[in-house]
Amino acid sequence: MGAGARRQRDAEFTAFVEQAGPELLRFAWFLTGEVHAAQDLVQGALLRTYRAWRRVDPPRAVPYTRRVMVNLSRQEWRRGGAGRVLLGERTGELLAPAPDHADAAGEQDRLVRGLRQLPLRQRTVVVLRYYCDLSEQQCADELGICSGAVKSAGSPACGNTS
Amino acid sequence: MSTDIEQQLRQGLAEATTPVDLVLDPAEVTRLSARSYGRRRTRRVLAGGMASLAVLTAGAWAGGWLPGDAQSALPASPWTCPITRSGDEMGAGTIATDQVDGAMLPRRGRRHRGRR
Repeated sequence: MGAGARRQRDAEFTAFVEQAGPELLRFAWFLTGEVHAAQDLVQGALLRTYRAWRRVDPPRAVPYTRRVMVNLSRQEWRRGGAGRVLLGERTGELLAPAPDHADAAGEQDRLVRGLRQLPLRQRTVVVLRYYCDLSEQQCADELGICSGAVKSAGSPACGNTS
Repeated sequence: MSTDIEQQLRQGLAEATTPVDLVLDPAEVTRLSARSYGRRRTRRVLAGGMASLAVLTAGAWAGGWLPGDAQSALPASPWTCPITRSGDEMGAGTIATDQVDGAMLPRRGRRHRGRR
């Protein structure tokens, strides 16, 4: 690849990160429950997206990166990162600083805390369904599972979170 | 009821306060990704080159086409050594039994020594 093509690719990729970065970071934050873990997860996923940039269709770049993030967080979970959630809760890193005056913020924090107590699969389904606003079928496609599994993971998750 | 819960969940996730330090510098992300990609590519090219070189060397050794220095360092491949047997020589095709000491040769028609 020539220097010009590389520069163009870098410019395109930077524009993509600028545009999709905040959403991806938030998605990663809901998944991991930690600021640093979320940043690492997004960085790792973007690195893989950069490698595959020529193959990725631009409108599909965000779902592609999201899927990489789900896979990476699953790998991390398998490697024994499951203890992170509890650790994060103890150190208080999990929650964003809540404003003093807001009952609504307390409610949100309760919701986010509940979300973090879910198993990874259920949490991923909830975040994809209700944060990314995907249908059951889209969610199933993104996770590589059947829509029945999405439904069965989503229903108890809803009850536990609320 | 389920719809209410889902609606609450949707709203809660949308309005949850993002930590202030949850940010990424896009230019830095691209720089790191490009560097990592470049390193990975270099490694792959090097590994590919080494693998090709190994295959070529093995082929050259098998064909007996190694240059002088390499040929003296490596044993010659057995199938490239010249065979000097000739049918006209005396004793060709026979076994010099006086030179074979203690060898056991199979006898015809007897699989096992004990069976008759």
